[in-house]
This record gives sequence, structure tokens and C-alpha cells, in this order.
Amino acid sequence: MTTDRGVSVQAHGVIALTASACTSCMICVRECPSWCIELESHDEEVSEPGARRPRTVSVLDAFTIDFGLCMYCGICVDLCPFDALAWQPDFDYASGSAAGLVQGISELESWQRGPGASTAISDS
Amino acid sequence: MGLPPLWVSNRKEVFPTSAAPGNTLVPVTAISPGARAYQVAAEPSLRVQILDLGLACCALEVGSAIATGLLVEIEGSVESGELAEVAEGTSQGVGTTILLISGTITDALAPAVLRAWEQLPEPKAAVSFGACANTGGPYWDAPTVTKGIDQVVPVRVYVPGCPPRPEALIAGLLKVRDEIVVA
Amino acid sequence: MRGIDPVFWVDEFSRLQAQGYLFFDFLTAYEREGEIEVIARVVNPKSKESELLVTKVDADHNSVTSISGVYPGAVWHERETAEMFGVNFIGLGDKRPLLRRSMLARPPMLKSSVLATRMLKPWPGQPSNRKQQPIGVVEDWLQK
Repeated sequence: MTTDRGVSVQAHGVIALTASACTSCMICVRECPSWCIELESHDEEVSEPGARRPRTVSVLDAFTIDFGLCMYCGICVDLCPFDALAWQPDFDYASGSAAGLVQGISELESWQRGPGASTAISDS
Repeated sequence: MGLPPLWVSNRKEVFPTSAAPGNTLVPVTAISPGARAYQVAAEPSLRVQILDLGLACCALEVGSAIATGLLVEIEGSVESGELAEVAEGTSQGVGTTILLISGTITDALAPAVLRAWEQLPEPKAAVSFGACANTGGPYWDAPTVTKGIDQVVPVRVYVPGCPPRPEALIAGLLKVRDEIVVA
Repeated sequence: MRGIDPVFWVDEFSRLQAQGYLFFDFLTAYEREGEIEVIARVVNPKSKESELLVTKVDADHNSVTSISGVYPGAVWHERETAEMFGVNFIGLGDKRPLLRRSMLARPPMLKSSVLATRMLKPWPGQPSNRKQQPIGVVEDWLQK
């Protein structure tokens, strides 16, 4: 599958995050050769009706990728056990500052909503 | 099996713009002797003058942008000020030459990049193209690599990617226009 | 790959060149079990055959004889290998470093050399409840 510009939808354009799928396991952060991913989380206890004791779950507080530093290798995407990270064929995020290439949860999630208007999908 | 003659020379006759069937030849701008004028195919009113400092593999992507027609080389004079209308209907940014720094910059090479920047006439804007030029990228821990060309020259736009695709180069050029016209 | 006694290192290249191995491909070094070995490849462009030769660097003086007298193209490679591995090439005329600004620090390609940037930047993967070292980072590096 390609975008309307003939770019593979799996092109290493940008890494999108599905925050609800992330368990804060830190595998992506630790395996990143560029050390460009940062993650913060805290534990919360969740009580479920009928359960004998409350479960402890990790809640994601912050997740950033520094696309200035990222080498677009995709190790994080490949290793994520819950497919919370995925490539998206989006290239339109040049920045006027180096700090502007550091993207947080909201930006990373916005890419997850599928390719933007400039990159419509075709089956060709 | 012979290797295709890709990177041996910047002489134009070696790199025909129309490739033989089944064979993609990339015109090399990486070591071009001076600034060249280009038109952005998606936005024909955007004509830019680029001095391409291709220092590593990212330079191939600039060649790809030209080979795939995203960036169209304009024949004729590229004297500073004559071309490169950054946006139609405005005088802002006219004549701006973009110093496109694509590739790994070592500390040994950084002074040469600075010289290229200093010798470029005003108005000018530096674009950092790719992870190495942005921050050092995959060589962020190397003792010989400069951790971002913005330590050496003032960078107007950072294009992310390793390497950035040709589409990202176009997005970066549009960003330069926005920065200059809006600013 | 053929191991060559350091004494015959240059002679072997002279012999190969006389046999038609006219193209010098590369020379570099690597570290194995604490010892540095220099490796080089030459090609016979007519027969398309190539020879990959290896020799041990003299441990006491960290030196090996330069083959730049036989293959002038080896100068650049030997300069780089000297700069990055600290190998002393006997007979190499041009010893200017290519990339390093200062030769005071340990040669960066040795396994015992630490990458200062990796040491100084906090690892984002550091667990809060236990100690874990990222790849390429040596514990207690300041004491080394």
C-alpha cells in the first residue's frame, strides 16, 4: 500500500504512539541506540469488582521522542510487545528549532490517527 | 559486476537526467560548485536557490528529490537576488539562498561549513537536513562528530529524518518560506 | 583470510603486487582478546581474485611496518588506523590525524576506551528501583 504520492505506508516517516496500548515497560527506551525516547510513568492500584485484590497498573505520564536524535531504525517499533508504536508516512514536521523536534504524547498520538490529509492511502 | 558511476564526479554529462530503463541514475548535487535554482513541483510559485553541502548519505535524498521531480532544477542564471522568490506576491525573502547542510559534520570539518556559510551572500538561511546535522544523530556518542551544526552556524529550519525522505526536504523548504514570510 | 608473520608483512604485499594484485582495497584494524590485528585487502583486477591478509601488531611497541611504500593508497588508511587504534606504522611518512583534534585521549576505537558522551548523558532507560548499565557504558569509568 502506498500514499497518494507513491510512498509506502510503512515508510519510516514518523513514529506514532497509541498511549492507551503502552504499558510503560521501558523496552523501547532501553533498546533505543540513540537514547532519544524518554518515558515517565507511575503505578496505580485498580480495584475490580469480584477480584480478590487490587491490580497494579502503570500509568503513562510522559512519553517523548526526540526526532532530531532519532536514527529511524525502528527497533522501538519492532520490539514494542503491544504495538503501541507504529510507523506513519508523515514527513511534514520540520521545525524552526531543535527543541521543536522533541514530540510528546499529544503530537505522537495525533500521527496515530492515520496519515494526514497530504498522504491519502491508495492500494497501488 | 560493475558499480553504477554515482558519486565519482559532479560533471553533468556523467549523470543524464533521463535514466536508462530499469536503471535509476541520481544527478549529483552533493558536490555542486555553487548555488542552484530549483522550483518546488508541488508549489510552482516557490522557487529556491540552494547551495547543497552534501556531507554524507543524506545528500542522496536531495538527489532523489530532483530525480523524482519533487524539486525541478531551473535552467539559467542563479545569481543572488535574481531568482529565489520565496513566495509569490511578496518581496520578503527574495533572493534568499538556502545553505542545505545534509550529512555528518565532524569537528574537523565544521570550520569548512562555517566558511561556506560566511562566504554566502545575504540574504541567506541555513537548513539542517537529517539527524546528523540536527544533533549528531546516530553518531551522538562519537568523539569526532559535531553534536549539531547549529553549534557552528545559525540554523533556520531543522528537517528530521535519518535520512529524511525527499518529501521531508520539500516540507522543510515550505517551512523556510513560512519562517521567512511570516517572521 | 590469511595470517602473516609481522616480519613478512610488507614482503607479502610486494609479492602479491608483482603477481598482479594492483588494486589496494582497504586497511584497518580490530581488537580481539586484547590484541590489535591489522587487516588489509588487495585485488587482482584481471583475475578478480582478492587476498585478505592479517597480521598481529607488536604488543610492546604497538607497531607494524607500513605498506604505503608498496601501495601508496594505503597512506590514508594507515593514518586513520593510527589515529583510531593508536597503531604506530613504521615508515609511514604522513602521520597527520584525519578527524581527531587532540591526540591526548585514548584512541577511540579501542574497546577499553570509553565514550565520554555516553558516560555524561543520563540514560533515559535507568530503572528507578535497581541499577542497570546501558550498552557501551562502563561502570566506575572515572576510576579507570
